[in-house]
Amino acid sequence: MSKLKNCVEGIIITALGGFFLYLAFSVRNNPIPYGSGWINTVAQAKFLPVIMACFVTILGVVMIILGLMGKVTTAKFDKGEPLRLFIVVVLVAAYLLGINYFGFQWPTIAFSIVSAVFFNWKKRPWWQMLIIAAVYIVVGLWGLPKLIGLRLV
Amino acid sequence: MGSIVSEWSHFGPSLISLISQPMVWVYLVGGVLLGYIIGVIPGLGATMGMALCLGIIFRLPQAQGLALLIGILVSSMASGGITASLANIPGTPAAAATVMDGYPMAKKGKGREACGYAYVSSCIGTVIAMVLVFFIQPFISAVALKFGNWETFLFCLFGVILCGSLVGGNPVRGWISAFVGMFISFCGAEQIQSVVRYNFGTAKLLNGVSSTVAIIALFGLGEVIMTLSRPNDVRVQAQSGFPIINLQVFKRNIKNIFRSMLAGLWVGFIPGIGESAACWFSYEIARKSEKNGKDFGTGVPEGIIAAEVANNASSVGALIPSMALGIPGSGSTAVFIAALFLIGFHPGPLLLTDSPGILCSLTILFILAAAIMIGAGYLLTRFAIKFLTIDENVLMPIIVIFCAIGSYASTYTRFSLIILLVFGLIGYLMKKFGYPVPPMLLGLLVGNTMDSALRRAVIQYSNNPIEMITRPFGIAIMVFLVIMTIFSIRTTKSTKRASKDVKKVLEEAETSETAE
Repeated sequence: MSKLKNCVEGIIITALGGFFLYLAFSVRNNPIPYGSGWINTVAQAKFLPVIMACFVTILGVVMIILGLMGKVTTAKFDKGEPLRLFIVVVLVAAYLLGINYFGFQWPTIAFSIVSAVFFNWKKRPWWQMLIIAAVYIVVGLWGLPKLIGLRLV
Repeated sequence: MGSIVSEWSHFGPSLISLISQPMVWVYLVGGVLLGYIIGVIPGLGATMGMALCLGIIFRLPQAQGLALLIGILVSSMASGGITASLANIPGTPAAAATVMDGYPMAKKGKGREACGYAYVSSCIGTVIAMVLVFFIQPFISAVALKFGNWETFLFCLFGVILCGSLVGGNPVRGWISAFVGMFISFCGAEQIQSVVRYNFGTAKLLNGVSSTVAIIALFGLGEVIMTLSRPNDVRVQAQSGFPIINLQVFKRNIKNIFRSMLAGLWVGFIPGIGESAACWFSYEIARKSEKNGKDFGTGVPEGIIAAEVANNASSVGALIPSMALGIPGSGSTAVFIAALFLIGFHPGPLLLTDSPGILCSLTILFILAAAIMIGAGYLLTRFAIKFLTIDENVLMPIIVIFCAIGSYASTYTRFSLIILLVFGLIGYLMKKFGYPVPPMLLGLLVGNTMDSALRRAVIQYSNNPIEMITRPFGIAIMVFLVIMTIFSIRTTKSTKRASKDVKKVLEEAETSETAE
């Protein structure tokens, strides 16, 4: 069962290689051909992408075989790690997508307050969390942008 | 020969130009201080520090950008050994071998001496290695000028394959990382016939994926997600003070310093191995060569000096292939190359011709950064443990904000934040499942060059492809690369064996000590 679990990594890589192959083959041919034969094949814009996609697919299969032989082990999540990871990813994604739609100011303020509270909950008094959030906001919105001459606000 | 001498002739004007600019000093000192803190805090390190600063460097004049970058690189490498000695935690992977003698020395109550040996050795390693590179580099660049498209393709290919096989524990994962990086680098309109490759129908990807954003995401955001998702409540207990620098010990170790410097330079020169291997390689050589080799691991200064000189010399040695061919020798130099591109230089065979005086500027800044580090290290080591105890839960969220601002500042498009998120997640998954990041970065950086070089070479020799393969220079490079591959595999094997041997010896010594 554990060997089968180790194969999952190889299967994902093989699937990724397959997706890369699909993308590489969907690249159109060069508008101006270089004669015919292998020179024209190698000079195509899709040549190296196809080769790289093939390599990834082959290495994915190798990972499956190594997994079946028990020669590679896939890292496991610690207890409580998936939930914390989920929250961290949602928080970061919401911040970055928020900037994409609303600009830097409000998402940065919201991210600073939420992260200062979430990551320090029950570890620090509320006033320390407020100071931390204020530092994030001042450094992020004014300090660093001023240093590099960037207008964010 | 004339062009080689002419490169050295820029030394005087470059020196005057750099030291007369106050802002260069400001950024150099700022870089050293920032690098010190980055090096002391475990989990950060030179690569991440430089990656986070790419957004700033992009906006600075060339000399100031270089000063900031070099300040961070030199001091973060040097300060990693301080926490390795004081708290048994290497600040950077390159300081792993320093733990072997630094920590036992600190346990004997000589922590201040251990810190002194660690960071002063690093500075010495940087200065001597940089002086050597200053004299070697023009010759290597002159040879690199003879490279045609075919040779460039070969060198890129070998670099990526070598890097994939040598970095990390499993070569298959390394190669997957490298090939995925190369595949991603092909995205967007290619350079020869402007054929658009998998841009998913969006014009925002016509220029491909910005390597700067990818670097910030892979090394910065990926590390943040990794750290925050796995809370670390390690509490450090150690004491520090002003370091003690015993010059007599350095005088006694001149041979050890030169040997370690050459070992570090050699490991750095081979693309893909990196500083973390250099320290073990040099430590093992010193253990076998020094008279008190059997005492290594009990807290002898020779061990600290060997490890610290080598890791800094290695980061300087990695500049040789980076500057001559545009192929990074290590993860930190990969970011260094990306930063050079950002501030208007083009690392590769034409670097010294297109940017006369660049080698002199780099040499001067490296030496100045090392000199400033000696002073800064003396003053800041007293507070090293304070930096080490900075709570990651407080530090990491602000790095997310820095990553966002850095990505936006380098491209001026909000789309780069989407790229940042995607690559941040990729960086996290790679770290979590043991896929080394440097091969992917190398693939991202050299992928397009390799593609254009191969296709141009094939078109150029379309009438007689045999002539392309049998070009004497190409054959010489292939032979050289095969020899390099064999050497680097042997070096990596001996390094891994050395680190295992040393740890085994130490464990045995510890067991017998406990039994007594």
